[in-house]
Amino acid sequence: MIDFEEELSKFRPSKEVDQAEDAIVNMNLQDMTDIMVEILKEKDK
Amino acid sequence: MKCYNCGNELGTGQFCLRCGADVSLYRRIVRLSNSYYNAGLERARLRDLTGARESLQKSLQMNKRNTDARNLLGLVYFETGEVVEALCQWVVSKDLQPENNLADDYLKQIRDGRNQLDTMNQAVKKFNQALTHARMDGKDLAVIQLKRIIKQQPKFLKAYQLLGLLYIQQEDYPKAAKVLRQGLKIDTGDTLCQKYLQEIQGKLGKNLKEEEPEKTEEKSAKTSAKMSAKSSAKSTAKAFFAPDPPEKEDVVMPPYRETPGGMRAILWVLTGIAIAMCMYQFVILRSKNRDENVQINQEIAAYDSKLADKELEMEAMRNQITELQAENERLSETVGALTGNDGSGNQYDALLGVVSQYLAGESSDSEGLVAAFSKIDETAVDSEAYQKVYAVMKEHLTVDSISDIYEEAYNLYKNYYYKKAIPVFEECLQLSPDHVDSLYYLGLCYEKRKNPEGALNCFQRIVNEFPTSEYYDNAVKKVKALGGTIPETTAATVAETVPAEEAAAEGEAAAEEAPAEEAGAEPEEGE
Repeated sequence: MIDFEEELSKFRPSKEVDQAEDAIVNMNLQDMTDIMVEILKEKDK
Repeated sequence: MKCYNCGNELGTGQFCLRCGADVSLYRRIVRLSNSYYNAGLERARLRDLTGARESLQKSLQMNKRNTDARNLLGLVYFETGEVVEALCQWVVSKDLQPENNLADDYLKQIRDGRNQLDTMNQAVKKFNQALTHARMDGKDLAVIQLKRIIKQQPKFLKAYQLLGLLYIQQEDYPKAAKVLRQGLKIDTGDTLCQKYLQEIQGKLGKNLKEEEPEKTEEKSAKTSAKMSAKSSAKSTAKAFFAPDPPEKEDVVMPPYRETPGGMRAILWVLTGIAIAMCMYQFVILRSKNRDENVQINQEIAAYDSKLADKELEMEAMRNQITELQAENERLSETVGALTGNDGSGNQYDALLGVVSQYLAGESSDSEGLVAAFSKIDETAVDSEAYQKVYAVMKEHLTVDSISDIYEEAYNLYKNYYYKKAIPVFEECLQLSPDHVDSLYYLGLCYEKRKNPEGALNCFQRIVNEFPTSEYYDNAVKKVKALGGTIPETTAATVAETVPAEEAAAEGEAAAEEAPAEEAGAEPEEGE
């Protein structure tokens, strides 16, 4: 049984073009390679 | 593949030839990223955009420099109407790989098709508005808005999802199912659309099951009827055209054929014309009607959108009316305050009346002028000019009139009319609260009228506020006699000064009080 209010609260406003800059700046770009490099640096220390 | 440490192009070995870094683990990570990309590509080809997005995000979590995966993820976002997410991915892709990057083309196309970007952005804004309406009990408005968005931007998946949900909430399940199926055409793997469709199927399941057997019965009846009709028609046709089975003893005759006569030819022509007309009716007019219907539907859709716009405008105007009404009430209150009995307008009029009378040379000491001035409230109008005029008038009227009033009061006092003198002294004090003479004689009047409280108030004021007054010493005595308190600082000074001045003061007091004491029977007592 669908709870309308609950389902509605799951919808998030879409980003508008004006917000693109902030979205790019705040994008998390850490990947597995970065983690691996960090671990290797820790290991060398 | 480039070394993660120095950026050198890697060979097939486990170590970088330039910096010597161990790249075996890095190779595995890149391979994993590539396999996720391949899975994402496969899913995207099957239009399972949700699955593709998940795979591509995992691919990028493994290796953020996987430009192909990032570009494809941007495409997937773009396909579902999330234009900003797509732009983000392509810009980052371009940043990570400036040369020979497919994202260049995408961004160039976006730049060239500026109108399309604006349209998509408008759709996003409208969707956000519709979401707000849906959350704030404006569901009908949200539905209208979402329909327009879908018309304007047919690939905006979120609009289909929200519209489907709103239809479900309105229990308009057929429409909801239609919209959600359209959404699934964009993204076959969209879990939200699938979930809502399942909900609808659950709701409609019973109805469908009830309808199905009837339909199948009808269908079978129809098909059997058709079959029987066909078979009977065939059999009759066969029977008609087939030659009669030759009886054994009959002579075989050639089949009879009538040559077409004039009437028959005319009948055939008429039949042909009738058929042609029917064809015209069915084919041409129907297609015309269809075109007209399409046109009417388009007009209805246009009117719908206009209606939605007008509704929004009306809402804004209603808000404006409410604001204007509130402002009108506020201004009415202000006008009421200005024009009311105690309003600043009346206070202005009263002050101007006093000023004009005064300037016209009407006797400044007349009671009417002073009484009219005393009714004016100094604090009623918050205007510097008003305050200045009031102060000037007060000064003039006070100086001119107070001596006359005081003289009148003093004469009354001297002639033992204490009761009549009291209000006149009070009038003096109203005009000039610091008029010590009036205060002192008012106290004496009270004392004579056997009002010790009033007398004590007057003398106490002189003791507290006018220590340098000529009436001070007498006031101190009166206060002491009436049971009042003398402030310590002044008491000390009095103790010093009293012996020296006592005789004179007592003489003065005796002189002042003499007429009162002499009054064995006050003339006003009998009044």
